[in-house]
Amino acid sequence: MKKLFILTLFTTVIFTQTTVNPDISVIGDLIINQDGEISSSGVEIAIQGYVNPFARADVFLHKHADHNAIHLEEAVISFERGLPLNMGLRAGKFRPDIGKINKEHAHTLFFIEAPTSMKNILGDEMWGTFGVEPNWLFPLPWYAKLSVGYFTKAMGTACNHEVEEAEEDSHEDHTEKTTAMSARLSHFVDLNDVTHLEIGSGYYRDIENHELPHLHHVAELDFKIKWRPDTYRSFTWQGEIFRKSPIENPENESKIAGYTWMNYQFNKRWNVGVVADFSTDIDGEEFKSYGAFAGFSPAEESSVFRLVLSQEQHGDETHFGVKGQIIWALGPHKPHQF
Amino acid sequence: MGIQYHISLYLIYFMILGEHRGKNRKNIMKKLLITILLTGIGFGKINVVTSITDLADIAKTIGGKRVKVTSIARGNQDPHYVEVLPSYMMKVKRADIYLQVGMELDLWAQQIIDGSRNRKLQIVDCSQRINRMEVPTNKVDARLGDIHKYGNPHYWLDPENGKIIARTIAAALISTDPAGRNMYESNLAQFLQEVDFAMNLWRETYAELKGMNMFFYHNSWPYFTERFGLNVVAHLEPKPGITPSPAHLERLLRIIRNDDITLIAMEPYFSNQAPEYLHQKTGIKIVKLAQSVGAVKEADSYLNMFRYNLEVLKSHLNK
Repeated sequence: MKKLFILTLFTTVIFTQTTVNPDISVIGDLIINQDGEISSSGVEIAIQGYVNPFARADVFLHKHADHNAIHLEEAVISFERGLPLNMGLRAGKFRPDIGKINKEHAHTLFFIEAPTSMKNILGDEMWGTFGVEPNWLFPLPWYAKLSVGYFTKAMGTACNHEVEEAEEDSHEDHTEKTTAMSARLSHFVDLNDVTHLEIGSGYYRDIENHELPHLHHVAELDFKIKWRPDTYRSFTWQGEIFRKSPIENPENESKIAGYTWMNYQFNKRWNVGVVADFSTDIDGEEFKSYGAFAGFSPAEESSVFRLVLSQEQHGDETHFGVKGQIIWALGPHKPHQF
Repeated sequence: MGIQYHISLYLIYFMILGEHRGKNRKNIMKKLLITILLTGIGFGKINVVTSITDLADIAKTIGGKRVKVTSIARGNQDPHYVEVLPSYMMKVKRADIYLQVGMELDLWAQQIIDGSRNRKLQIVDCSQRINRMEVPTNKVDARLGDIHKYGNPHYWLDPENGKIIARTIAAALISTDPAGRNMYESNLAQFLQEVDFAMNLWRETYAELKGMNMFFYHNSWPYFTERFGLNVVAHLEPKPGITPSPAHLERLLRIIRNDDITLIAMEPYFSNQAPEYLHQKTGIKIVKLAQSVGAVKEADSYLNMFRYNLEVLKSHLNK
């Protein structure tokens, strides 16, 4: 990780000597809960730019607010316009195209943190892994995309930064430990000039996973509908549902998890919404959560204040929580939600 | 979209239920043939996609029957903030030419172009020959608000710049479709003539607007005010893109009272809240101007947009 950090700094220095610097952005936050505890999800550094006329590269580094070193969240090259047959390609470390929320960075979420049910399926920091993911646009009048990927880490396991740090410190070769594949088919349709619908379905499968007793597979369905009558007003409703089960003995340990949220942006600066999620099994117990949120962006999304009220029910335990967040951004990568 | 959408649904129907035979299939074949024939009417044209409606209107005027033009942003939308939608990528996927505003106004366009995967697309920056205003001379950063480092990008709000845009578009169309050169050149000459004629008329008709002191909500209008001699005393936004603060509104109240400012002009998409506050305190009038073709229904073409704006300002003066 230290080598990576030095390499990044060195690369940045080289870039600054040219006239085609990449965009460099930093996003930070501060979170306070109902007990007055102050924390932070850390600082994200984004370095983004074009590699050549056909491909761009995006590097996201994350320094968590803990003792661990800088964590490589994503480092990916994306070929968009250079390939034949309406094909695109992502290669490197990135968040695979499965579901909606897996690709959304936490600072774009209206409700501060990803739903617990999704963390339980995808991993604490969502599913990010090294791999390669070609995708195709179908020759249809509407936007229909198929992505298929081959990856070196399993979904939901060994994908948070503390585990990765531990792996790196142990100097063991973990590259053959797990392999996985995923596929997603998504459609995007304009219902009218101001309303659009996106629906998707995905499938994930462990190919090799020596960390768990069973290989798993996951199926998902997702949707997002947005009504945007003008620039500053919009209503968005998004949801997805995952079913994770062992490939053998699917009756055992099979679980279903999902979430949905609705957000109403009623002027340039204010938004309000609700969020709910559930899982049939988190640590052997059923989980449900409901919440309401509000956001205020005083100046061009470069700083955002968020407030979330939530009630979680995990087995017999009920927990009520309040969280406030201030989030700020330097540079073009901002905490906006599209 | 509608017709093509139905064709695709039929094709999927055939792929999935291809084993169906008989009458039903015959009927579907007939419908498919009709829709393909109907869609064929649009084939063979140069497909132009633009970032804003003003570029689209000029492209339609120059391209005439040889082009099919689509704008990404609607006229009543703030062109700074356009959500990048996959359906826009599909529009650009089939395009021959993309007309950008440039000067960092439509930064979102690049993502749409990339997502389109269109390798033959000709991308034209319409700002390339514009005499740019308000180009910063010092370091540009977020302290200055949403400032554009290549200058104020609202250059289409000067009819003289409309002529420059038209020449740029004509050159792009000729390079993509040399067979249409004569028509493009003839349409360009006619457009330039119309602008000159309108400008001569407007100089006389709206001469009284010269020196008129007023507020604007956002700094979108320097090209317009420079051309027609209006005097911008202040903007309601303390910095470009920053919503008016109470302290700034108090400053504006003092200016209104001291300098006898009687008019606020704003784009239709901005919130009425701050202008209404000033109106209630001082009686200052509020008018909504069209910043783009289609922003209001009277601004249904590039030249009609100026006619509408000038008439609105004149009618205020005559009250």
